[in-house]
Amino acid sequence: MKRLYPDVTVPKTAVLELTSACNHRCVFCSTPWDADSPDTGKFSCSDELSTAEWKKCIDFMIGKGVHGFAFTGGEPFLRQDLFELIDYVKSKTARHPEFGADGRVCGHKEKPLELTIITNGRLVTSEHAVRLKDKVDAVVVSLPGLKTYSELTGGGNAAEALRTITLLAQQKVPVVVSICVTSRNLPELFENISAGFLAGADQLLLNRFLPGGRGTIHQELCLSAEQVKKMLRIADEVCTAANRYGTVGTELPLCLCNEKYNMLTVGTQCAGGVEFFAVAPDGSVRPCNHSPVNLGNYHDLELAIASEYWQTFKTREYLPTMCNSCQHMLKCDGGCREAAHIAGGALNSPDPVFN
Amino acid sequence: MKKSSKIAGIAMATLMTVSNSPAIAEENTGCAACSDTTGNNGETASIAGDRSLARQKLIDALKSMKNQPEQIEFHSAMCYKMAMPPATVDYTCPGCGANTIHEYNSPAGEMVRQIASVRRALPNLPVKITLDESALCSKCSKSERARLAFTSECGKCGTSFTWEIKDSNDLDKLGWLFLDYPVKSIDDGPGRGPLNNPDKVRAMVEFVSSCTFCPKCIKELQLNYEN
Repeated sequence: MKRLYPDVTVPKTAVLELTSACNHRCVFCSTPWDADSPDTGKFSCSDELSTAEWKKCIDFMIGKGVHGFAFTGGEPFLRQDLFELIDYVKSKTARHPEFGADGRVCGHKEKPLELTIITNGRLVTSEHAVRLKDKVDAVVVSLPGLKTYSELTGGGNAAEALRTITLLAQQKVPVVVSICVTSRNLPELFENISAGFLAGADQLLLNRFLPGGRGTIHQELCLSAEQVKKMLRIADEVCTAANRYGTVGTELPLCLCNEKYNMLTVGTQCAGGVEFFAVAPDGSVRPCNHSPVNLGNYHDLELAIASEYWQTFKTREYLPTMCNSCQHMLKCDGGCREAAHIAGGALNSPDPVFN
Repeated sequence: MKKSSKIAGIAMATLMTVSNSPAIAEENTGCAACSDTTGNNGETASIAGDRSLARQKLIDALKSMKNQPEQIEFHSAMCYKMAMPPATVDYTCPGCGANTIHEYNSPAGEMVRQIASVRRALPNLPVKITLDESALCSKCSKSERARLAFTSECGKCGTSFTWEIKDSNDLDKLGWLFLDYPVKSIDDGPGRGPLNNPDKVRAMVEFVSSCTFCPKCIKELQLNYEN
C-alpha cells in the first residue's frame, strides 16, 4: 500500500524534562540541551517553563491523548513546584477507549494518569518519601556505581542514593534502581545491582552508556559487544538471585543478546517517537530523550511528528546497511538509532557498540 | 531490628566493602560475574578469592528477600521505566489517513506494532511481495477480522498468489522469511542453540515455500513434504 498520509498520532507517554538544573555533572549525561553538550545551542534552556506553563503543557498533552508522564530533568527535586506538578497530574484523568467483542471501540472511560519520577535521589528526604506514597507509579533512582559513583556523577556518594531507595521502599513507593553501565563501572556491576536490591528496589532498569550530550566527548565509556554480553549475564545473575525483574532500557542489537535470561528483559526495538517522546525544559519536543534535535515547541506537536526526522522513527526506516540481510530485522532496530546518529552522523549509522 | 532495615544495612555494608576493595573498580580483565581471573600473581588470586566469597554472601542475602517481584509487562525499549504498557495502539492508514484505535494486546494491536518493521523488511526479499494492511483500518475495511494480506510473485513462474497472517504465531513465522540463504543452520532462539526439531524445520520450509512459490511450483519443486 502506497503511503499517502504520515502517522501523526501522539505517543502515549510524555517525558517532561522539568528543569535543566542538576546537582550532578554525570560524565555519561546524554541530555542534548545541557550547557556542556555540543548541541546546547539548539535549545533555550535558560527559558525554563514556569509552573503555570508546565500545567498548560500537561493539559495540552492530555488533550492529545497522552496517558502517562515521566518527570525528569536535570534533577526534578530541584524544582520547588515538583509536588505541585505531581498533584496536578494526579488530579487529572486520561480518556481510555473501551473495546467490544469485535475489537472495535465501543465507549470511553476516564482513568488516572500514570506518573514516574526519575531522580538521582540525593535530595529526597523522608518527608518527600511520605508525600510520594500513593501518588506516583514508580520512582526511578539512579545508582551509577558504588566506588565509581563520585567519579561518574561529579559529586556525592552512593550511600545517599541507597538511603533514598530505602526511604521510598519503607513507604512502599515502588522503586526502580537505574544504572547507566559504562566501561568504568562495569567491573562493580554485580555489587552495584545487589546494593540497589538490598536497599529495597523492586526492579532494575539497566541502560548502557550512549554518546550524546556531555557524554559525547566521553566515548571511551561505550561498552564493547563483549562487555554488553557480560553486562547482561551479570544483571540476570543478580536479578535471579534476588527474584527481581530487570529490563534493559536502551535497545540492543538482537545479535548481542541471544542468550536466555531468567529475570532480565532486553529491548531490541526502539519506542522513541512511537510510544514516548521528550519535552525539554524550554518546551521543545524531540522523539527521544537522546535526540540531539529541536523539532519546535510542543504547541506544534503534530507538525513536529509529521517532520521527516520524527517520521523516520514512526516508519522505522533507519536500519543500518549492515543489518539489511539479517534474519532478525523484523524484531530488531540494530541498536540505538540516536546513539548511532550522534556517533556516526546519521540515524542509519551502525550502533556505537560495533565501532 | 526489622528485616527490611537489616537488608538495607547489608546494602550499605556492600557499599563499604566495595569502597575499601582496591580490586573491584580498577579491574579490567577477567569475568566480573565469577571468580575467573587472568591475574598472574598470588595477590590477584587472593583478591579474587575474597571477592568470590563476598559475592556469595551477597547472593545469600539477595536470596533471603522473600517478596514477590512485580511482574514487568515489557513492551519496547525506552530509557524510562513505565509501570504498564499502553492499553491501546493507534493505527494511521497510509491509504486514507484515518486513525483506528486497537487494543494493545489484541492480534490487530500486535500487527500494528510490527507493521513498520514488516513494511521496511519486504523490499529486502529476493521475491516480490506486496502488503495489503487495509484490514487494520476501520474506514477501509468493514471486516472485524485482523489480518495482513500479502501478494507474492512466484519465485519460479512469476504467477501472483495471495496469503495472509492473522495472529501473533503467524507474525513470528514471518521472521522465517528473512533467514540468510542458503540456510546452513537455524538458531532455535535465545539460549537454545541450533534447531534440531524436524517438525519445526518442516513447518519453516512449508511456510517459507508457501510465501514464495505458487502451489503448482511447490509441487514441482517437491517442497510440500507430501509422500
